[in-house]
Amino acid sequence: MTRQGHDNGPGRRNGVRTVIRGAMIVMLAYAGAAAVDTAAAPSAGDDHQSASAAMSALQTAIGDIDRAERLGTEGPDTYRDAAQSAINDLVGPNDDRYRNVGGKTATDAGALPRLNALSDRSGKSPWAAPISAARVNVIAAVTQLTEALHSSDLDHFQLHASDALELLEMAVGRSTEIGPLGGLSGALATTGLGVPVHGRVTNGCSLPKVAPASGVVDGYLMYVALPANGKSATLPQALGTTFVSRNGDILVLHTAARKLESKLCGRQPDPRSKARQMAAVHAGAADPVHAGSDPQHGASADPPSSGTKEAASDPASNDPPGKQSSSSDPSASSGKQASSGGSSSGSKDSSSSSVSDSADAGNASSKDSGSTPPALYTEKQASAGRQIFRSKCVACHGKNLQGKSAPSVAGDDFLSAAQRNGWSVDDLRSIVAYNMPFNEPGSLSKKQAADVIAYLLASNCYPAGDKPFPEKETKVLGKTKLTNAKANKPSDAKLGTCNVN
Amino acid sequence: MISNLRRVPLKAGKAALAVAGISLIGALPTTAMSKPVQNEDYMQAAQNNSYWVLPARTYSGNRYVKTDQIDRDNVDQLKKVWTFKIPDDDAPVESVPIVWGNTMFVTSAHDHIYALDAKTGELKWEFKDDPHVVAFARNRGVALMGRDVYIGTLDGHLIALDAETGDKVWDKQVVHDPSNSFYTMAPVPYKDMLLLGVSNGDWGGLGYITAFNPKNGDRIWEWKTVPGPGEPGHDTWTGDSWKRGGASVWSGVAIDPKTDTLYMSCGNPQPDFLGTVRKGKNLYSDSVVALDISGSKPQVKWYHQFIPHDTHDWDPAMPPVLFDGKIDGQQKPLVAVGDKGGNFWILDAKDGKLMDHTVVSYQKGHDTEPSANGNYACPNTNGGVEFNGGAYDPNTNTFFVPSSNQCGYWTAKDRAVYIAGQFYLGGAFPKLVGPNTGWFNAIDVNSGVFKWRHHFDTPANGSALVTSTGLVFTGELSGNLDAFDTRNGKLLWQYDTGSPIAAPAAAYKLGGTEYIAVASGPAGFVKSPKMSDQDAGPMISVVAAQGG
Repeated sequence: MTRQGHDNGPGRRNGVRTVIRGAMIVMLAYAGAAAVDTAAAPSAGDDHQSASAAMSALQTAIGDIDRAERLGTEGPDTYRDAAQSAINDLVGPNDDRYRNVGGKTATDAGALPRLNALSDRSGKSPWAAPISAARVNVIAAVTQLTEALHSSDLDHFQLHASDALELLEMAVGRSTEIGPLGGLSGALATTGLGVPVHGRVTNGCSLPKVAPASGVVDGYLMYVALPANGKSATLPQALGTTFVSRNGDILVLHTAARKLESKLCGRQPDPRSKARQMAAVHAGAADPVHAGSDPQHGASADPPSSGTKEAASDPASNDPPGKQSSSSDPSASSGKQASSGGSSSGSKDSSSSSVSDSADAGNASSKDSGSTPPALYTEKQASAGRQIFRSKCVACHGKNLQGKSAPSVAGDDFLSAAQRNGWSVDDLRSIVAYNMPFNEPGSLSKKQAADVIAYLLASNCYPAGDKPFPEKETKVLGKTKLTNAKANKPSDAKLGTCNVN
Repeated sequence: MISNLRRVPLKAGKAALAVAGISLIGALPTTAMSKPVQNEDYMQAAQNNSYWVLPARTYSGNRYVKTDQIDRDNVDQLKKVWTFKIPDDDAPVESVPIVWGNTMFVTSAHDHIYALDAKTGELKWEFKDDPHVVAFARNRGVALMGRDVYIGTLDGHLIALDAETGDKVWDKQVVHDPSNSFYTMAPVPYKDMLLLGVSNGDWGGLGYITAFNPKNGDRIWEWKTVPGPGEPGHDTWTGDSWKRGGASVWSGVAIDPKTDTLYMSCGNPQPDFLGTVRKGKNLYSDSVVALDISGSKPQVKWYHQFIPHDTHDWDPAMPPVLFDGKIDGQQKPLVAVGDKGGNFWILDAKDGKLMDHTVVSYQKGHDTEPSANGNYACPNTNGGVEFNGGAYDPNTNTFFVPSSNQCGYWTAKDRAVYIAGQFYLGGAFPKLVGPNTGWFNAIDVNSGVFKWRHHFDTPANGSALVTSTGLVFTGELSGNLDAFDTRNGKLLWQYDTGSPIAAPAAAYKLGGTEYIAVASGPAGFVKSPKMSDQDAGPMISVVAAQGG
């Protein structure tokens, strides 16, 4: 069915507000209700083409408005034309609201008809939520622009144009987001919608053996593989890549869907790939690979891995990332309960039991800085934590953990503050698991948080042991005070930190 | 314990000297201070464009400067004269330069002070503090008073240095609880006092502003921003929640010397995101307070609370700006403030009555508190109007202020536990979601409606510097310093500093040449997904017409 009939016409300002609020409600409803359909297949190539065209139309509309915003007071016709041009880009030539501007004729069907059609075809695929979110934001933006079109003065125009611009930016979304907040960018970057027609598709749970290829699992685009043979290649769209790895001669650009790997593939992002990880680009970096040709991937597919089906039944993957994080680690929010003798849940956890039983942990309660600090983590954890720290934490805390815009997290300065303030290891765990990274708190999985803490302990010259740092709070960690008694000799004498490999 | 070794001034030549644009290394440093700064110099700042000796140029807090060289016709001739790369401190720079005589004093995030030749950028002396960072590393400038320069530090010290040499005169730890309190704001000299507000609003501290004796750091008076038992407003807090109520004094202040009235913005209440443990309006959080400071103890003249019982850290980070503006056709003394919730407010400076309210950022969820399951609200905690605020143009009766469009996904815990030296939030800072852009807003004071707006692709908190010749400057996180036509928002000039700008620009005149100076540096946690990675490091950039 077509949804043009749902697209409200011009109204007064109060009406406009209602539409916007409605748009947000739809977005949030999707955020809470969406579930993964294990049967969802990667999208048809036509859908990819249509989504890309819709993106172009959105960006053209944004450009129309933006140019008008920058013009200043040069008469009403300029900004009215801008509003109409943007409407044309959005609704397309077959809509009643389309009017020719300056003799230009439409070259595209329009963003909204394309989004309507995509939404109709989306079923329960992962791109249903972001496409619908983009669609309702475009509808609201058209309403605002229609108001702007009837503006009697520049103030009125700018008021509505500003709102329209924000709504269109929401529709464009972010390539680094999964779900409704990803909008069209997120749908293209993290779901099968981003796979070009005739593109080669491989199992997104396995590292690629061929390139170019798109790694897809349960409708999510996990990575794009490119040949690392010196030839250039073009990405089908911006991927929002924050992690790049190498598998032999293949460069693997992981998408934001990588964070669902444990749920979709039954395992965490592979820390064993350290040797293969050539770079861990910090969140927000531009796509590291651009340029070139060969957007047409070949046609073959790897067989699915055995873990895929079981993991894919977990519906959490379509939750908004923030909700997902908080629900995936309920223990994180009650870290201090344990330290004050509250929760007993930690003792049921095998890894936390191991710490509770540890004789070393008992020693750690001592405030004697001359005592040996306990072994609370494994070398493997610390090594994995180092990789996570490098990609998520280093911008604020510094590559030597000395602190940059944020405080130090290792060395004499940190440990002095920890002793002065009486911080326990669980205090450290709680802030890492619940409050960090600053712009994306709670986004680390329980395993990632444990790995990061292991890295911090290792950098603070705590010894490694054979039992891993627990992924949940434990009573004993709440009593284990951070101490400046270093088990290992600092490799950086000035900072008082130890290197971690 | 902070090593004294880290608090030793370095003379020029010993420190890494980085002067780009034109090579100046090797020249002998000139004298730092031409003459001591006196009270009348502060009072006459508005009439004298040769120096910039208060954080926002004058006590009014209005960054408006009378220029006679740089104007709309020749602004495109502005070119880099010199840059100074701040060594050994790769963190955000939010400092406003203080310029007196031929010396510019700037600070780095970790409380380093650099005395530079204002004409050439040559380093005269450097003071390195590097204190323990309680929370986050920022410094917003120094005070210059008499022959001394003063800095409030990240570990709660107030330090006086000889402005001529950088040698330490005295150093005193002055915050009440150094485990959760520190200084980021530039001290403000006023009538033989140094006024300094404490930063501790997200770490379980209690806000206050202190008047210090500049001779020795002794307290002259102090005013707490959360009323204690028996004081008016105490009943706006439940139980003992007031004891860690926050309401810090993060940013600058404005002063009306004629009436000895101090205008200050008070920060958010604590725990930031858990309102159930502090029911009530939580005075004087999220308020502008006007204090009579003519006597031995400050007295509240009026207050205006913008967001009672804030649960999103949407405090009025912007320092107040005092100005005489025309509103509804009548000239009035006004005070303007913006908050992180995306609101811009204009109040009657005499009684705090609301005159205008303009929404300058995308807003959502203002009536919903963060929950354990999480919910969305806009702006996020770094959005709206930020700490550098804006400026008023008397020629067009326009207020210029940048604002940011960001949203957050917020979660609250079921309780808040105080741990010394750590966040006291009752939840988590929001996950950054939604739009990620900025506006530079020109607001008609008469109506509260936009005259024009300029859209940025990144959040905006580069403040505003208005000239009498019809220009307004602002900095972008893209690294560009922009000059707009005040009348219509036409972009007339742009200079790429190479690093994100989150600091206000300053202007001064030296040897017959007008200069514009601005700090830039790494974005820190202000960095967001759409920002470029461009970062040439922390630096000061100075431009002038035809190369100065």
